Amino acid sequence: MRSEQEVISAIDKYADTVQRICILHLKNYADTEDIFQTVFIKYALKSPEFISDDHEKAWIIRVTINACKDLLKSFFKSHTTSFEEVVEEPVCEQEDYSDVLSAVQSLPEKYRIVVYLYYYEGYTALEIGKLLGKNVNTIYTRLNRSKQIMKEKLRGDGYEK
Amino acid sequence: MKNKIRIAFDSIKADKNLAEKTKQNVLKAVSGYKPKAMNALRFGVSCAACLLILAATGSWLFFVPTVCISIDINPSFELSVNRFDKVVSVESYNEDGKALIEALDIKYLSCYDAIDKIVKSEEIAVFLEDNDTLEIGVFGSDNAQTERLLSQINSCTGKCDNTYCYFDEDTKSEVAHKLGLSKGKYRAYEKLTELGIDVDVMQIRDMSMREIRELIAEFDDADNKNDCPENTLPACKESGTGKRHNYGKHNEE
Repeated sequence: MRSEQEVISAIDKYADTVQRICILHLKNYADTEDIFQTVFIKYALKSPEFISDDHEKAWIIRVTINACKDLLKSFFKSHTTSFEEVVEEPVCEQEDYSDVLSAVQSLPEKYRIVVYLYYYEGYTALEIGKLLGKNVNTIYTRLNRSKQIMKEKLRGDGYEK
Repeated sequence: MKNKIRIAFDSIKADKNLAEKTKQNVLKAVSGYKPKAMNALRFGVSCAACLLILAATGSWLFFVPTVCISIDINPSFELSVNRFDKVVSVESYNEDGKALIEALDIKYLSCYDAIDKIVKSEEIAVFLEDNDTLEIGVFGSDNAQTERLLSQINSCTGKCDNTYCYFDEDTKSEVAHKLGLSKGKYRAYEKLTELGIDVDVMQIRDMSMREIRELIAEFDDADNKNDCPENTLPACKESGTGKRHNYGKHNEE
């Protein structure tokens, strides 16, 4: 079990990462709040001994993705739409890039996380494959497909290869 | 593209209130959490308690006898049979009985196998050849098990001469055992006393069933035709009546 200090430090360090993954999967604040609690309670009680910061970060990402998927799989979530979801779309603070974020969010769910991990977190396809438990070729395929979709969506918006 | 995506994601920050709220909630949840070792201990104790209860229930189900089978010739002993028709204990009521059960080793056999082993044993064969009478009484509640056991015993002894099988309610076992008699022998003793025959319990203990039956037959002139024990099977009543020295013939067809 982690000490209070470790938990506080982890929340400060990984809150943004968890928030970004939540935005890729979820569409309302209440769910994000649930995921935050799930992830960090798990971190406090059940996280393994980490051999490096990268190991710790990968664990947080993996647990957050799983928590989001579990939430989406739940009967209630799969059969209802929240009021917030109807009236509110997550927005990018910097207007200039909101179209990019929207393009990422418009991708099929399985592509979104790959794009995030590859372009933002800087993982290689091999590392993403290990993290998601997928074949590396599957990751390459998803990345290529994502690029094509986003290229089409962002055509005319100064898309660079 | 890569830069645009990076900048777009970089602009997403966790709400400070959310982070603070998470800290409070997580620390609150964690403070009530007991160490894993404690949980493991509790789990272990629960498992041990469950196993103990299961073991106790299992032992009770297995070892508590539901039917008693009294076997009397001159060796006199009782088999206690549980609800699964297994012999869970064997008790002798005279020296011959003690010697016989030591020789046969019938504990934990099924009732059918135990009776079969007894009936086919050389020791019993010797008694039957001497025209002694083997009485096998099923004592218990009048239910499916006693009916089943009586039927099994009957099939075991079907081809044996001088053999009786009968059922009786198990109501006087304490008195019988206090007097040092098996239930079957106590039943015969009661019959003697009913007829007004003054016999000492010590005498009865060492008398063979044939001697007891002969004694009953001598005094029971009026009911000479019904000297087969009460509650005996119809087959017994039909074939085992009347003759002083052959009243024990049973199941001859």
